[in-house]
Amino acid sequence: MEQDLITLGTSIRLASFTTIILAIFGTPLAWWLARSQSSLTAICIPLLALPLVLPPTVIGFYLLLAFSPQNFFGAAWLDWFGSSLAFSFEGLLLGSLVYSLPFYIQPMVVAFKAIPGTLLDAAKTLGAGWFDRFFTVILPLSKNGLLIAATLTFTHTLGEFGIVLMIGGNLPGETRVLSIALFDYVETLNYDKAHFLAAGLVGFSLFAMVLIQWLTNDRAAEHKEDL
Amino acid sequence: MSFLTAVLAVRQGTKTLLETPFELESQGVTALFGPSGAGKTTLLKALAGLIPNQYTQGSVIHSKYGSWQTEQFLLAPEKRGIGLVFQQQQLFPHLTIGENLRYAQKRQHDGPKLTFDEIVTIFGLGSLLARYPQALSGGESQRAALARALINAPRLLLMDEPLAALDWTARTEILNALNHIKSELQLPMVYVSHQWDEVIQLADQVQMMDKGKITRSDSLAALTTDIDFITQEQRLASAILMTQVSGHLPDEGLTELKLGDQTILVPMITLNPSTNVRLLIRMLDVSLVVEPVARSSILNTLACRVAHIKDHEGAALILLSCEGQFFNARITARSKRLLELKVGQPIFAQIKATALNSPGPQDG
Repeated sequence: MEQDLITLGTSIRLASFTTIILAIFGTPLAWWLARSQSSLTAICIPLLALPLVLPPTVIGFYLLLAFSPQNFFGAAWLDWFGSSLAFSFEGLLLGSLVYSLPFYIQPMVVAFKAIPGTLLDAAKTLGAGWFDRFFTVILPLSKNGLLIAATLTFTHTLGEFGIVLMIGGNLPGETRVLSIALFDYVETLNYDKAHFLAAGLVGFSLFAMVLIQWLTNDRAAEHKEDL
Repeated sequence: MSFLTAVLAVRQGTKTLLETPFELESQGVTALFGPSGAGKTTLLKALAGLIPNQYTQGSVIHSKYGSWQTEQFLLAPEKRGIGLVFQQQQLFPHLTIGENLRYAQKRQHDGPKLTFDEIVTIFGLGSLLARYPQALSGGESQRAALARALINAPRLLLMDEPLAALDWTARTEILNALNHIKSELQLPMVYVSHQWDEVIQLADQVQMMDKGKITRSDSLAALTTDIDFITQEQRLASAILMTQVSGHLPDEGLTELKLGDQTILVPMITLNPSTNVRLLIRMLDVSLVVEPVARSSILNTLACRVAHIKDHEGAALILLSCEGQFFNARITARSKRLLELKVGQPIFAQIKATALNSPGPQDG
């Protein structure tokens, strides 16, 4: 039981960090993808969607190679931080960022594209600069997209398996996450504990989906109530 | 002194959307008039700084507040102090009407301004402040959008066919409100329209646009006395007469207006003597008589001359000249025959006239 709590802690830490980091860096990226007229977006959109269709083991394999101290990125990381990325929480986090990126980006791009250009032009002429517009017009109008993106990213990271197996290993308190623990219990025929974890994940995911449903519906109702 | 002088150019690929010199007066309403696709909207966007740099090569805009655009530099729209109102979809849907107005108030520019309450009254928004934009009719939305732009205290107000999607009643309400604003604020305004009857109700200057160029720039008074110009079909339906208040008849609830040597009575308007008043005369509200009728429910009979006759779809359009100004009557072919109308002939016109720019409470 104590082992399971530590595993749960690692999973939640990983999912939270992934969501927060993607919210900070993924949001401007999504804005650029949604609004830029640059032809570069034609390459970036499919590239960023790749993790949706690639087997997680493929991504894991290439990340593992990149993390290796024999390669430039792994060597530079080791040089800078004094520890290897492979089989570490930081490595796992980097992997999650790559793997979960499309789950954050896609809903945000949809939300940003849905904002009419006339509203942004209106905000500009009313005297709102870029940051002002972002926080007073763009974010409030993409609140639903943001909620969906964050929830999808969080739950998806929580359930990720293949990539963790490839680059994280199974170190308690460091890289051992719920989906791996579940796999271990099934392997060792410990079905009671497996049931407990599996049901817990089902329950949480269901809760998250209901939450999205409720929050997005509620927002829609708020705007329509005085029709 | 002009408000701004500019050379504007907008190109997309090999297509030239706009290429014209442009100058704007410091006061009054300038109408940009022309067919759709003439480049009117593009011109407004270029003035507002909303067209990205790569499409506006060669544009130069010098306003009386400094340079807005040169070969090397494009001033951001939010720093130009411009108010902009489009046809639709411009109120922030996540804010109530009151919050939309406060948003503009918090970010005021340094142009002429009225108080929040004055603007809410002029545009009749008192009962709408707590509502969300989605719950408003088209006319209410446009009133709110104009009010928001004005509360922002712009140095220049740009309006891109703000009445295009509205019915006649809503258009009249808004035109009255704009005329009220015009009399209260020394604010230059640009009004884009392809409806001549809107232009005559509001504009002081008219700039005609076609194929990305300004083709003619004139005062409204000059255009409405140019027979060649006003006998073009789409400009016949209504006309204006420029008059002055000469006195009031409070007992009868009437105001006397002076048109040259003639007098016109309209329902009481609260303006001082000598104030200029525009009278809107609709073609269908004019009837012609050979001699003045002594007793009639029509208050006003004007001595005119027939200036031009045009047969049109079984009826006749008669352009009348009265004290140097022009308006139209539409009569049947039979009436034309019975009256034996000829160009140059004196005739009397019975008119129903509506006084514009009469300030009055709009809320209610």
